[in-house]
Amino acid sequence: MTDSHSVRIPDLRNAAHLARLDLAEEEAVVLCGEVARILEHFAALQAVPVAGVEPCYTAVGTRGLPPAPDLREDEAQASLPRAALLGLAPQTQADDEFYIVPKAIGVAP
Amino acid sequence: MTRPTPNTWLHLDATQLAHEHRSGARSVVDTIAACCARSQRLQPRWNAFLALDCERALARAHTLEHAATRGRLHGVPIAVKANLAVEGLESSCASRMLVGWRAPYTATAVARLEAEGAVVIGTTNMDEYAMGSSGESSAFGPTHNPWDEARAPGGSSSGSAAAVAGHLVPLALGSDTGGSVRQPAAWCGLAGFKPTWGRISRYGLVAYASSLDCVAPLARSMRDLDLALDIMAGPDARDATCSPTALHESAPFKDLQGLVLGVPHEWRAALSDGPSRAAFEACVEAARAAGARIVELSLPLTRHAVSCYYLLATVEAASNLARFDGLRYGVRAAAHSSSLAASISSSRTQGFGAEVKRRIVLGTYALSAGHAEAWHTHAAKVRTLVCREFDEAWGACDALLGPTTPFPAIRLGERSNDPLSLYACDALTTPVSLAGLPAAALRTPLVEHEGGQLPTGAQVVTPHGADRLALRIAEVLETQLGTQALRSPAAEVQA
Repeated sequence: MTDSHSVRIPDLRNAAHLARLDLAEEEAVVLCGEVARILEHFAALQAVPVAGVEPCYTAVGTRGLPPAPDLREDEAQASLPRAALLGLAPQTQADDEFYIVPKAIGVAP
Repeated sequence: MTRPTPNTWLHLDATQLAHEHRSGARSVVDTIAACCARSQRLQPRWNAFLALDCERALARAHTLEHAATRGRLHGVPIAVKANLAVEGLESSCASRMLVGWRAPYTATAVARLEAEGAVVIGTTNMDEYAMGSSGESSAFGPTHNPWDEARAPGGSSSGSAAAVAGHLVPLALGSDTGGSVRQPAAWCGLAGFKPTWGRISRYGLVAYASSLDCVAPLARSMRDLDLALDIMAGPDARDATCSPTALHESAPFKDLQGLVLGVPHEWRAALSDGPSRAAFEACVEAARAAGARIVELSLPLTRHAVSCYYLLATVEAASNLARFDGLRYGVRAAAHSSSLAASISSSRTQGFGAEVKRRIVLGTYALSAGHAEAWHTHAAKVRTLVCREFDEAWGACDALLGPTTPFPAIRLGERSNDPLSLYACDALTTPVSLAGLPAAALRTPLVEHEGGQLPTGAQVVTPHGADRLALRIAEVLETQLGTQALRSPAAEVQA
């Protein structure tokens, strides 16, 4: 493995932040250490020569991106009942018309 | 109506049970009542279910008892992995994130089984979000293997496998992304089937790694897997990736005359112990005795399959699991501040277990700026090469035959602190998953292992679309080996 592929713990901690995981210091040390060890083991994959090889994102069909699906007619269809979906929410407005979420505007990220 | 003794339903497969219900020889209500009672009584032993709904199942049984139309699974009790939606049942993916979440609709695969008369009795335990190979990463405790309760049943479809091996139900649904049905089948002495990717609709399956995920059945007979596949396969307007190609029609094979089976020497060499090697060689001999010609071939990239799979699957998982933010459904944790970002982070941090977090961090890193080319794109290119190896193999044989797992069921706790050693359990199932191929997991002879008798398994892998060929070959092999009637000691456990 070349240096450019070496795994740095700060980069893993940043990945946890990007994934919206708010790890406590001790958990971050353990988890990022484990992931680093896993990636170091996986680094053997880098030895497989792939020059000129196209990546495969789905194995069935074209091997590239999935083919465009046959689209159905653009007609209105019944959706799931609104009340059933709102009923699964952690918090809704008193009359169950809207989801309630924490304030997103005017708050420091 | 002559009513058989209460427990005779225990040993029947789904095909026979449905036949007896349809003919009136057996009461649907009696079967479902007995099945629910047994499942409730044995739940403390194996922890197979996350949600049992006997009231719902019995109400449906009463309806079916007098129904004029009687389907191919009339009155057959089934269990469904808790990552598949069953309307009104808790489908928590064995995660604290989704505790109490009851599906507002039913997955297409489940709905099609229900339309043929199947009765869902509950949702089953599993590795959280289908991430695991032992069933131990469930937020609700591990599942125990009915063959040996100190051992893991395999994962991630751990509860579905335990429910069938424990004779709680004859048929269960799981999902197979990197081996999550084939591996528990091998460790629990069951028949399991991973279809061609896209063969069965994934509508209603909680996505883990979309380019690999398959809905997959577990049973105690190959004919039950064939029946379940026949019912579930087919296009679905709700899943654009679902194949419109019809299943190939084929009567059961009498033998394997005229077929060439390839045995990759890397798969054979992966077997870690003498008894497992002997069990697999017995399977190869059975193929030969049934008339197949055996050819040795090589799939050198097998050694990289686990790394390739885990890089691709975790990248997809990191993206798929971004939706669990505690806003519209699931658990919302108290945050240290009232901001949206803090709420999302707190919910995810408290909701996800250790293995899920590990894979999300791994996948996010492997796809992040500056690292994606070296990790994710490189793995996707290796996947192309894995597919090419299989393409070349099809020039030399009709199907591949190999062991399903490198070793029999591990002890609970044996590898739970070492993620890499758990990932190694998937060494022989992940190559097939990367290539999107169908594979039938069959039972090979029991082996003496660490002082006990444990099941082993083999897999028959065929080209894309040749799902039925894999099942037909596996059926002949089980008959030849005499393992089609394999019964776990749990079958004799009275509830």
